[in-house]
Order: sequence, then structure tokens, then C-alpha cells
Amino acid sequence: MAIDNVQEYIKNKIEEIEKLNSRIERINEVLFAGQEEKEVKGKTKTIPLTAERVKELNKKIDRTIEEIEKMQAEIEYELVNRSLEKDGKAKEFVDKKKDELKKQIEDGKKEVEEYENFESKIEENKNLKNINRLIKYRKDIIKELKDIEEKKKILNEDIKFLQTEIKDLETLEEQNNKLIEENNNIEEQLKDDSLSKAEREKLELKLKYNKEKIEFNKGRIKDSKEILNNKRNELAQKLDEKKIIENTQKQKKKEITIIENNLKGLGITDLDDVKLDEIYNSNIPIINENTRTIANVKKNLNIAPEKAEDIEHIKERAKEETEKILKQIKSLEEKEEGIDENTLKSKVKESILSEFSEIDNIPIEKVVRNVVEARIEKEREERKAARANRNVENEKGSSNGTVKSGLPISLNSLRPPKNTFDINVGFFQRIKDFFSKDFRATRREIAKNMYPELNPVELQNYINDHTKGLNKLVRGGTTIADVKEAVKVQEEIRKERLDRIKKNKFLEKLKVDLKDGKDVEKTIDEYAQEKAKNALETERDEM
Amino acid sequence: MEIINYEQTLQELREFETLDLTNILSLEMNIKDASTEDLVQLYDVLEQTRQNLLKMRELLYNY
Repeated sequence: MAIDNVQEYIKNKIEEIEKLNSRIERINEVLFAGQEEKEVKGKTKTIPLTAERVKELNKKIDRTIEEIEKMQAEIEYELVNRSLEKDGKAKEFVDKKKDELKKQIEDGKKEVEEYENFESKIEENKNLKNINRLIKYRKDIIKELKDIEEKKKILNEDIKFLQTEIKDLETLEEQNNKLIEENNNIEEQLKDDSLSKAEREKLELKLKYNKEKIEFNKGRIKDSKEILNNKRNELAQKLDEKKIIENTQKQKKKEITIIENNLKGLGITDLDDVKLDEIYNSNIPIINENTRTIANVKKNLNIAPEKAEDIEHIKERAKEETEKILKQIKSLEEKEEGIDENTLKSKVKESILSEFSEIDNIPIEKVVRNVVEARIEKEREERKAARANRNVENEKGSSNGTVKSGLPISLNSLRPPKNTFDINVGFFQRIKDFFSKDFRATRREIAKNMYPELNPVELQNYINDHTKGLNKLVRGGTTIADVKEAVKVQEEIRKERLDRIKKNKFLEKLKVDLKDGKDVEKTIDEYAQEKAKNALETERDEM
Repeated sequence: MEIINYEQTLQELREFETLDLTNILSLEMNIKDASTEDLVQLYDVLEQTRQNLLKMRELLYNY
């Protein structure tokens, strides 16, 4: 479509895109509000988007971004060319773009660093937290062990006291027994009449004293028996308790060994209590700082904190973005630096050569095949249509009481209609068409028409080399008319491609940038001649 | 507190989903015919669209 007023057209286009931008910005605000649950006018805050809609939207966005980037690349290319032609504004744009891209690269690098740092901080925090947890656990266990030790001490004292008490009571019993035995002896001695008065009195006093003591002790022992039993039970309990405590102590000591091994595994070799306290205390501010950084990065990235794959995803995206920008810069620089006269010449030649190569590689055999297939398809369609018409005619005849033909439909096409006595003009036309049709061509006829420039010897050689391929064409029902048609089609394709090349931007560029066009034309001529020589071989390979 | 016309924008989102962006973002002219100034302006507005679309994709990522 020709645009009369380019400036006006672009102005309108820019306005249209700006409107689109405002629309996208408004949608983005709602999407953001839906996430952040900001206050919005309306009853609900969530955006009713199904997974399918999101998927479709994403597809649309990706496609559009791709389109935009293509357009931008074209504009960039044009502006770079203009900047080389000393267009100040274009140069300004290119410089600005380069600066922007370089800045983006720096930002990208920083971003990647930040993500990597972010990850290492998460890892570091995990380690520090582990170390501190182990140190704290170790400290708690040591404290527990001290308590256990204290408890054990008290228990031991209790046990000792109980044992003493039990022993005292047992001694008292023994003493009484001795006293009873002694009294029995005294009573035996008192039976002796030869005792002097003084001795008797002394023994009687002793007896009396012992009896009193025995009675007293008996009272004590009687009261204490119950106490003694209780004390013994208590002692047994205390001993059990002591055993449990000792087991716990053993267990806790084992735990400490495990913790200390873990700490060693985490790089803490000095297991001195004071040293570990220092490590614990110095880790706390680092953990807090890391936690703050991690939280900030997460907030900035707007990601779910627990999802490690999100971090991976973002990191991947940042890297992709950086690589893309690097490519853009490289491409910009290539465009700027690469377009000197020699490079341009070689690029132009390369492009033209490749276009010409494309022209010379149109294999006539393929074109023949296509033409034959198209012709057969067309005939098939025609036959189908004719059949349909005849069926309609036969239906009509049948309804008029005439008998339907029992012949195959294909033969019906050559049979005069039964339902009329007038000779149908269409019938003779079909007969005429049938016999005037071009019949299958022979291999030689096909080859000769495909390559009219070959002399008889070359033609025979070609036929010998391509018997298989030619047989295929013969079997496919190729006619001389088909081959002639294919040659025409091939020529049209060549012409079309040549026209395209003429319009090619490289040629336009060539006219502008190369003062002497003969160089390229010469190259093209030479190439065309060379290709003409090789064309036959190429086509043989294609067969 | 930010107030957004929610219902209206939801309608815009629905329209956006059916909008033919290719038509809006295509040029029926040869860019060689445009002035440098117009091209730079067009480039900038396209960049803005690109950025907005990237933002939208990022926001949709969380849906």
C-alpha cells in the first residue's frame, strides 16, 4: 500500500502504539494490584484468570515482543546505515543505543552477581544457622549435664545419709542384743551365793541400768523399724534414680560427641566453650544481615520465598537477557564496524551468489513431476465433476421411467445418453478430447524436451545415467505437453527469483555504496557461466 | 492508597486478549522513506511497548 504522507502516517502509528501502551500499563496496574491486594474499585481484588487464559496471553505477549524486536532491528539497521552516511540524529541514536546496551550489560552482570550473591547468602545463612544451632544445642546439653551432675551429687548425699541412718539403726539393734546377752550373764552371776554384797549391788545396778537401756532401745528400735523400712525403700529409689541419671548423662555425652563432629564438619575445629560462644555471637549479626538482604532481594524480585526453582528461573532469565544484550551489542558493532567498502563488497557478492545458486538449482525433473501431478489432479477433479453431472442426468432419466445404465461410469463418459434420441454434441466433444489428448512420452522425448540444448550423444548419456528417474516420469504418465509446460514453469520461477534479486536490498545497497558496479556484474556473469556448466551435474545429483 | 478502576480495566484486559496487535505494530511503508527523527520516535515508543509487555509477562508469571 502506497502511503501518500509518510510523516502523517508515522505520527498516527506512534499515537496508536501509545494508546496501546496506556492500555497495557492500566492492565499491568490491575495485575499488580491483584498480587499486592492494593485497594481497587470493585468487589473483588483477585484477577479471574484461568491457567489457559494466562497461557494464551503469554503466547500473545511472546509473539508481539518478537514482532517488535524484528521491527526495532530493522529500524536499528536503517539508523546505523544513516549514521554511517553522516546523519547526525541517527549517529546520536546509535551512540545512545550502544551506551544503553552497555549499561544494560553492566546492570545484567550486576543482577546476575546479585542473584549469585543472593544464593550464596542463602547458603551461607544456612551454614551459619546450622553452626549456631549446634553450638546452642551443645551449650544446652552441657548445662543439662551440669544439672545432672548437681542432681547426682545431691542424690549421693541423700544415699549416704540414708545408708548412715540405716547403719545406725542396725547398730542400735546389735547393741541391744548385746545388752540382753550381758543381762542374761549378769542374772546368771547373781545366782552365785558367794558374791560379796558390794559385787552383788554393783551387778544389780548394772542389770537395772541395762534393762532400762534395753527397754529404751527397744522402744527406739520398734519406732525405727518402720522408718528403717521406709529409708531402705527410699534408698532403693534414689539408687534407681541415680542409675537413670547416669544413663542420661552417658547419652548426652554421646550427643555432644556427635555435635562436635558436626561442628568439625562445618569447619569449627576449636571446640573450646569460650571460643564457641564467640563464634555464636559473631554469627548472629551476619545471619541478621543476610536475612535482611535475602528478604529485600526476594521482595524486589517479587518471588515466593520458598521456591528455589523461582530463583533458578530468575537467574536463568537474567543470564538469557544478558546474552541477548551482548548479541545486540555485537550486532550493532558489527554493523558499524563491518560496513567498510571491502566487507560490503564481499557481503553483497556472497548474497548475490547464494541467490543465483538458488536460481540454478531448480531441478527440471522436480518441476516436471509437479506439473504431471497437478495435471493428473486436475483431470481427476474434472472426471469427478463429470461423473457427478452424469449421475444427476441418470437420476433424472430414472425418474422419467428410463433404465439406468449398468456400465461402469468411466465408460459412460463415452456412451451417448439414452434418454434422448438427439445426438448430444457433448458426446462427440468428449470423444474428440479423448483422442486429441497428449499420450505418454518416451524417455527420449522427455529428456529431449527437458534439455533441448543437449546434442544427441549428450542426450543419450543423460538417458543412460538417468534411466531410473526417467522411467519414473514415464510411469507417472508424463506427456510431451507436461515437459513443455514444466520448462515454461521453470523459466517463470527463474524469472520471478531474478526479479526478487533485482529488488534485493543488497543490490540497492550495492548501487549506493559501490562506485564501480562492473566488479559485481562481472562476478555474477562468471558465476552464471560456471553454474551453467555445472547445472547438468547438479540436476543429475538431484535425480 | 492507590485506587484503580478495576472493572473497567478488567474489560480492557478482555479486549486486549482479542486485540490484533500485529495490525497495530506493523508498518505499511518502507522505513527508508521515514525521517530519522520519526524513526527514532517510533523506535522509542516500540521499546516502551516491549518493556510494558515484558512487565506484563512478569506479572502473569505469578498467576
